[in-house]
Amino acid sequence: MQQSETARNPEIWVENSFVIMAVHGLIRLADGLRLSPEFDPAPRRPLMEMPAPNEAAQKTLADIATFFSLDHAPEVFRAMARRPLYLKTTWDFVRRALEPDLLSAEQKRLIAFAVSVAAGSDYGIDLFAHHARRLGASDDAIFETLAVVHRFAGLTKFATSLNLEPDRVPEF
Amino acid sequence: MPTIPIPPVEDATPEQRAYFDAVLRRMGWPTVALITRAMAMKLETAMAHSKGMGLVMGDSDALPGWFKEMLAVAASTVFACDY
Repeated sequence: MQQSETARNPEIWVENSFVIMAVHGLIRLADGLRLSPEFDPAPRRPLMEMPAPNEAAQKTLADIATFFSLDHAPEVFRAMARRPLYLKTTWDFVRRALEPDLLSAEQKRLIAFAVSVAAGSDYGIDLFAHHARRLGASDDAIFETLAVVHRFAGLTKFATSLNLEPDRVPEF
Repeated sequence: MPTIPIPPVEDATPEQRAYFDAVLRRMGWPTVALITRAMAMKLETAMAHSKGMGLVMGDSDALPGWFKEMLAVAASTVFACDY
């Protein structure tokens, strides 16, 4: 599929929105719990102790670790093991949102990284930059993602400060 | 409603029209966006912004332009900007 054709497919924009939704929820939870970044631990004191996962939660956490190619599931999921069904249903959604489809796994991690930078989430920046790199993202790709967030951090405030209404969206 | 009156395209100076044409060419938009008209009220600053924006949002060896638009949607969503 040509790149321009890809961008004209409405489904890819919905896919993008699901990545945003899944990741923004995860990182808000992680930062709400004051979890330390996964790969560059900062001296953060978590809001609560990590629960001991039951058998069902252990199985879900094992699936998560496999998905992320890690020895163990990221802490944000381990914290959810306090409620195994909550962990399971959250993971079912997050996995579907983050697995490759119209967008590749690397592209989805870069979107997740952009969401994390925009949200100011140390946890998300650390987690998704690590995964994006692991999936092949170069420093140039990471930097260019940051540059887009940088530009839109300013652009969105320009629009908001003047209360500009959205333009009519042209049809695909 | 915008907090200030944004001049319509018809009232643009020749310099502003040239700026609009350049933005339309780069973005592939059919009409001049409200934000472009607002920025054009301070044309030199708008042009400086646009030059940098074109550099950031265009195709590169690392990322295609269409994907950068997705990143922009992601960032704008988190920044809670409808525009």
